[in-house]
Amino acid sequence: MRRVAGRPLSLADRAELSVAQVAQIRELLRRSTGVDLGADKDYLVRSRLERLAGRSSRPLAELAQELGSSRALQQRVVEALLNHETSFFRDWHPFQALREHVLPQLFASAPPARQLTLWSAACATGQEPYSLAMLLAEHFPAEADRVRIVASDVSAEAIARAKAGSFNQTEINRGLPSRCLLRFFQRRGLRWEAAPELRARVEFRRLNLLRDPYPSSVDVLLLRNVLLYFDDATAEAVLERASAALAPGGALLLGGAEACRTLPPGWELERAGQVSLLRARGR
Amino acid sequence: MPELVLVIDDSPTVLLLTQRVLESVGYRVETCSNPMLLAAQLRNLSPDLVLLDVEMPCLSGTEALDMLRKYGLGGDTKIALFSSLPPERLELLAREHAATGWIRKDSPLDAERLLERVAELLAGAAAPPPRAEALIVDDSRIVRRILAGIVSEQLGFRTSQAEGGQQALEQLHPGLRLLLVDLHMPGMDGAALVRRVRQDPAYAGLKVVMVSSETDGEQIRALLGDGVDEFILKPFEVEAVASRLRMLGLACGA
Repeated sequence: MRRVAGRPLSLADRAELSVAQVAQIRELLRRSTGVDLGADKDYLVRSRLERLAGRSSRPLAELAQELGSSRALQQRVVEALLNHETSFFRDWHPFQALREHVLPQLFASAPPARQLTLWSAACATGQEPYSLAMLLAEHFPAEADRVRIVASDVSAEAIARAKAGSFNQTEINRGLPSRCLLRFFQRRGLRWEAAPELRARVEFRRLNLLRDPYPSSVDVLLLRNVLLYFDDATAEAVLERASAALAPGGALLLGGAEACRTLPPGWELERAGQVSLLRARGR
Repeated sequence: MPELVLVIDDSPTVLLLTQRVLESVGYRVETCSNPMLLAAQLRNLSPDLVLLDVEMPCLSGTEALDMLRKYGLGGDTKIALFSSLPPERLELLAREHAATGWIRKDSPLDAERLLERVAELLAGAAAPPPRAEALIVDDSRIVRRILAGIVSEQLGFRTSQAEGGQQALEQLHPGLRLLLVDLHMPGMDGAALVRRVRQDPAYAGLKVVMVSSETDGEQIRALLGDGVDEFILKPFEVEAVASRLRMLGLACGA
């Protein structure tokens, strides 16, 4: 028998969500975060909701019924459906490009007194902004102090975990070079914690890309593997706001698979090492 | 059935010209201008030869090569880098990424040379670049097999295995590019093996990656000081090992 949260599922728990209920939940997610799960992701909605029901020891049908009236529950459902897939120095090439091309150019061209802003706009559990902070500390120690790293995510749970900066071994193994592990993390039992000086370098906040104000004068914006979850109109609207958030000459980094698909008018594709980045035309 | 050549290039002009030339002598040709669509395309295709542009805007050739391997190509399928980069650079890239070979993209396209190279590659006359070799040292046979699987399938290495430090010493040779070694082993342990290896200048260029359940920060620090390039914690995920090795500039995606 399948178990959820250590408890056998009763028949009532396993009563499936109706197609209409699943569609309603997808719509809730789309409205609140812009994330557009296609109908082919219905299985995901079902399995995540089953897990949520199991965790709260309540039948699925009851949850589904209450969903229309409880904001708190809506929030929990949305949280349960969001994808927090990430890793330290994810895909490596973008970070290599930042180190070898983007950041040296930025430091050389910006007036020495200007504070620079890097924004990790969908930071999930924090590995991306911490990677940025480590990259700066390791390779640009003289400049690190004038760089502000803003990290945001739509998920309150993810931001709380990111702020805590505590990672399990699987998360550590994924992409974190040993040198950085030893320099920036301390072991606590089975987990590794980001050192206070690393945590202090990143400013975490919860931010909904659809609704909330963006940071301004951003020099490098990492918006990786986000637009691919949005429908075209939403992606376009977010890109437009991203363009307005960039400082003159600022660069936007999308995920590897996104740059081609979503290149809108008003942006130029620029090659930096092994990756492509976008610069807003005329800014 | 004539041989099937898949050409991947972001330039429609290059695709069209290459296709015409190859079809003119009877090859079957498929083209792909957007590597992001490869997955779908490869489901129905089993090309004999892939010509892969190295510099595409959204996905570099080496990333695309990783992707091709992920979709199971690389066994019988020959993969040639297709680019206007200088020959010595292409040779190096092909070696590093374990591609079968390379074809220089001339401008204007030299049809005869292209056909000659394609025929050579298909006939296997163009010797495949020797694959880099990794030695995997762990007293657990299962761990050795898992690690060997990762470095051969995901990073294109040839592998050999040893179950302890002493046996590893006997198998060492200067052609090795990567030593993946456990720390705690009966007999000569990983730390002792690494110290021995690092004493020998013949192995100065060898990358040493330790994979161990040791989590003591001080001990890991000491090992890194003693010549270990990277330390991966056990238990590990397949993808974690592959990504960490790539970060060291090993094989694909360097």
